[in-house]
Amino acid sequence: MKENFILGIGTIILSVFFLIINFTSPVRSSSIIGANSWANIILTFMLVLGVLQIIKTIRQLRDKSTDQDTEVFDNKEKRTLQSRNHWYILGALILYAFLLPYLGFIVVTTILVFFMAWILGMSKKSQILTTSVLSNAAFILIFAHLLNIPLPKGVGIFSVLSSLLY
Amino acid sequence: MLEGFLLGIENLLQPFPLFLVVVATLIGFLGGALPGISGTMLIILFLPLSYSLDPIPAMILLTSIYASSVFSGLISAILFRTPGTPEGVCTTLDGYPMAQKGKAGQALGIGIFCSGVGGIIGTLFLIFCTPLLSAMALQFSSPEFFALAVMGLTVVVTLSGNDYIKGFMGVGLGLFISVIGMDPLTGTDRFTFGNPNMLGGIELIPVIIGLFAISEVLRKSMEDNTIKQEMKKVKTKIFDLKIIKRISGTMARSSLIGVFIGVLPGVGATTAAMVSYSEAVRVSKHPEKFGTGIPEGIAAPETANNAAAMGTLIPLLALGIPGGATAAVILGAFVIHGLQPGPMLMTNHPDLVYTLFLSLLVVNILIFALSKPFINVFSKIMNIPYHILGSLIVVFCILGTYSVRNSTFDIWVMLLFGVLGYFFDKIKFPVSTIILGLVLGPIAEVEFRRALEMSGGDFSIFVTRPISAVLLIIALISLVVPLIGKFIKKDRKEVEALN
Repeated sequence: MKENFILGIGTIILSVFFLIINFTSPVRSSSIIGANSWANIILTFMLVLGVLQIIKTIRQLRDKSTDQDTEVFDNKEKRTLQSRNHWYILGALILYAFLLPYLGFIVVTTILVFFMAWILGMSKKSQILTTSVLSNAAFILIFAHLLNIPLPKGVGIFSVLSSLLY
Repeated sequence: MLEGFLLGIENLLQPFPLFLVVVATLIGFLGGALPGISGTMLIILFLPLSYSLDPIPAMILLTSIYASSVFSGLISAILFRTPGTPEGVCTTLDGYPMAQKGKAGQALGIGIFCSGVGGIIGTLFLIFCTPLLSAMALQFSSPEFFALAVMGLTVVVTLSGNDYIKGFMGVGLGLFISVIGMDPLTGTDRFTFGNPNMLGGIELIPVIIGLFAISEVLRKSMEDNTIKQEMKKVKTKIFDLKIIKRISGTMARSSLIGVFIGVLPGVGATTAAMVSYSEAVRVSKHPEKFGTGIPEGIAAPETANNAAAMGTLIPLLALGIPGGATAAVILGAFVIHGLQPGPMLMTNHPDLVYTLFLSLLVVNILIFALSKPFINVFSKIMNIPYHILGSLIVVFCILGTYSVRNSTFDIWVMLLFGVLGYFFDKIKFPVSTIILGLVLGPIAEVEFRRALEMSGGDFSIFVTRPISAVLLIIALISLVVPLIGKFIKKDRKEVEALN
């Protein structure tokens, strides 16, 4: 229930925010339906939906209806000791995206695969290390060499290291 | 025509061209099955390789890769909820749930059969109807394209399940995301906040990968992956007569939709899959079952996308106008090899054209022959423990996302939508509606604005042109009837409760 309320509020805030930006930006075209107009139509539509969502949620709260869709996916029965894993993985991915341009593909991906394999349950460190190194090698072979995709090399010494391999 | 066919057979039935067809098919299978490597990318990657070949083998290589990659996108869509190619995104909606029910083999079998049949039908249309269909496509103008996009969007009603507000929100969000970047008609930037990365807009692939694959990894990471999951061997059954009988109507309709949409310039196989799915839902007696893992939910998009893939080559070969992004790359390949697609191509190079037709027919037949062993090998991946598989999937997703524009910005987009997808799944928000809006948004907007330019601002252009009017009426009925049905049901329940 709370999530639906947040969804409605979030939609309204998003719509209003971008509508304000759109209305305050200069009109730069002389066409009948300009660059801003289509966006205005969509954002207004979303604003109305946000309001409808809140009204619906309030009505449901008031009615305490029991035959609605399950709005909060109850994880409790599936929650295990690993329940925070998704936050750790998300944090790792954010860090990965941030460090990728600086440290290059090889270094950050090796660390990421190591971390993820460990957090997902692999216990033997030697196995984890082997997995991360071998998988990295395979990715470089396929993407950098076979498909000629210019993977990030990083800066400084990391760039030199990357250049040795691709 | 007969002479052309005989020339084509003579050219194709040589060891080297046949070898190329088989190899190109397998390359297309592998590339299409791996998320983030699309048919367009594969063709671009093999284009330099084709320089060293004569025109006929070169075009056989490139078109065969394209045809087989459109099919194989379904493999990871069904097994991992990660469409291997954008054309496979609709297959995820019923393919993955079916796999979750333990029927991965059946889902794959349906997908293979429908892809092969759709591709063969599309190729037959390509061969016999190229001049005819091209003339029909010329009747379509902006109002008709807009009406077609609106018709595709009406599938939101069914993708929403019981919560229409969330469904429409998803479409609205998808439509809004498609607006970000440079306006295609005026070149002005919208909602870019001065960020040069946003000028090109938000790409479809990072959004799809984020919403489906990354969110799935985040969700599965909460499960206890140290418990070894016993994965049953995926037994793909292609020729299941009972299922074929059940989906034959869906396939017939979807193949026609696919070919027709494929022929329309600038629309493409992804849109064909979505419109076909939408139509399957609309005509179904049990629309509520779509999204739960039913055969029709796989048959509709897979037949359509393969038929459309062949359809996109029709305007390319007949008029020199590419029917989609990949056809545009293939057009470039023709030009590089000194060929000019268009009305004179069939006159000047009938051997090339008919060899291409026949090689595409062979590729679609090879889908039946080679897909099962390919999937047997590919599906062994499912036996890999998730602590390895999950890590590899994430890196594949990152690489696939990065390789779209060689931009780390897209990785951030993927992560953002991964988080959104995770939370949307938790509150039963239909994420597929976001993709619907994102895919159809650009077409809807551009054609809507062009139509109004054509009419001088008169909205009646959408209803005074017959084709557009018919499409919009169908769209309106598709939207309104289920909503009315829902209210009637609710009223009846309330009356029964009072009694």
